[in-house]
Amino acid sequence: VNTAREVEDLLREDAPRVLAALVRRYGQFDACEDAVQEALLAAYRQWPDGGVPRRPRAWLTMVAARALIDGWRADSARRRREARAALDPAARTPTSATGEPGEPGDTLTLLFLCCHPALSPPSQLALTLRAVGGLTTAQIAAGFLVPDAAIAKRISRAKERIRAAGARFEPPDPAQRDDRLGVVRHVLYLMFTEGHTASAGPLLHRVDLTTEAIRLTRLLHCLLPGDTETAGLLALMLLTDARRAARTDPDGSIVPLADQDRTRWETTRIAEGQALLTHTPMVTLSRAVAVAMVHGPTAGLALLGTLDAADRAAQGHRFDAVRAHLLEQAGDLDPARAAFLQAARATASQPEQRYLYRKAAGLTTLGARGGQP
Amino acid sequence: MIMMFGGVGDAMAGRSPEWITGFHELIMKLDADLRESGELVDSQKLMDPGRARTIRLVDGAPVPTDGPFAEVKESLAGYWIIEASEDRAIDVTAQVVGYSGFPMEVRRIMDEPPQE
Repeated sequence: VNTAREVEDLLREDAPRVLAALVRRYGQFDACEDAVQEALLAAYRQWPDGGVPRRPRAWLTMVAARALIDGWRADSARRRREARAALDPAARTPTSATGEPGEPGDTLTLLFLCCHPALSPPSQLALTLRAVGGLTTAQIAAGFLVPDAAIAKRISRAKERIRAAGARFEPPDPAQRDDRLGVVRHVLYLMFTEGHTASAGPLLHRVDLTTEAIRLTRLLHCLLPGDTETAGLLALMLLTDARRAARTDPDGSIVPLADQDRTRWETTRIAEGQALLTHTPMVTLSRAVAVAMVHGPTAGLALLGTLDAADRAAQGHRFDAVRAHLLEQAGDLDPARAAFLQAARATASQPEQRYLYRKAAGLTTLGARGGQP
Repeated sequence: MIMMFGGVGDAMAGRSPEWITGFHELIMKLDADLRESGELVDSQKLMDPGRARTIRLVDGAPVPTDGPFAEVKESLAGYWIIEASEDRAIDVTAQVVGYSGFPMEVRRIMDEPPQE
């Protein structure tokens, strides 16, 4: 007999793979998703007391496939013909060598499908959280601070769009993959930050989200080990998540980085994160911030100086923003102000731009005050 | 269409944090009012003109170059499209100019019969 918690963990891992296996076999993303939800419900009902079947994923796939076919049967004669075609062994795609459907690769294919370019970014995120992250509509709605119905609508519209775009469940070809990779990483990053900083919802959901985001990013990194941005993202997640226990005090308030009890940091995660850090410019930026916290702003600025012009340009306003903060801490106010202005001009984010302009303006006022006795 | 020009950077440089906050609050308030009254069709803010790319014909081929076509202070920075009388558009614009001191422009969008 397994605890509900163990069952839940198992299902979260298996659900996207089962969905992936079904979509690959039968197409029809939305019908398959409903069927998987039914299978998950059955598992939630039966497994905690009856025990987990020997091959849980095969069990789920079978139950979901049956639910899918029941749905078709109940529908119409046309649907029945489709079901028969789908059930025809000759028409099936072969499963993997182990006979277990749904390799890790399927989860990634599903992830790339959810990040289809026909969808708006909020829809991509919502669909990914639902289909790959295994969250309920209510959990997603709580995360976005919007009503349940709005998320349900967003997800069903997203599924319609994917169908209308004629997308098929197959690994994207290299060109498509490169096109969508940025979006996929962005969705994973959002999933992570949603879990890491979400202001709403029970604590538990937040931990689930960060764990799921790390799991998926790790899969992506395995698929594309040479992609430095993915490696950097995974490192960022691991290094951030390593501090999770130290980030809040017992009553749940945020503890700033400088005040955190470092003995509560997870050293294995830190080691894994650091091992991933080849010298990408984004990593150098993050390290400069960390170095400045420990050894002072001048040391951080020295590290920034190791980036060449191309790397600086690739980091855009982030480079200038970090530099500006360090210069300000070092008391170098005029260059700090110039760097804040430069960063403000380069960002495409309005809140960020307002923040940066206000920082620059604050230094102007200080400078003026300092100059006039 | 109500147009604002110039680099926001130039407009913001040399201002106090309070001025910037006040300016932002004014814009947000006008934006919310126009949205609530149903007059607002669209409003967008553009990235700093320093980040613009201008495409010019060079030796018969279009070539992108860095920077805006016009001078930064003449470059479009953002706009509101509202459905309202000219008086109303001027009234809204005057509130912004009254605060910022920078000139703005009001233009009517030409009519187009619905296409089928």
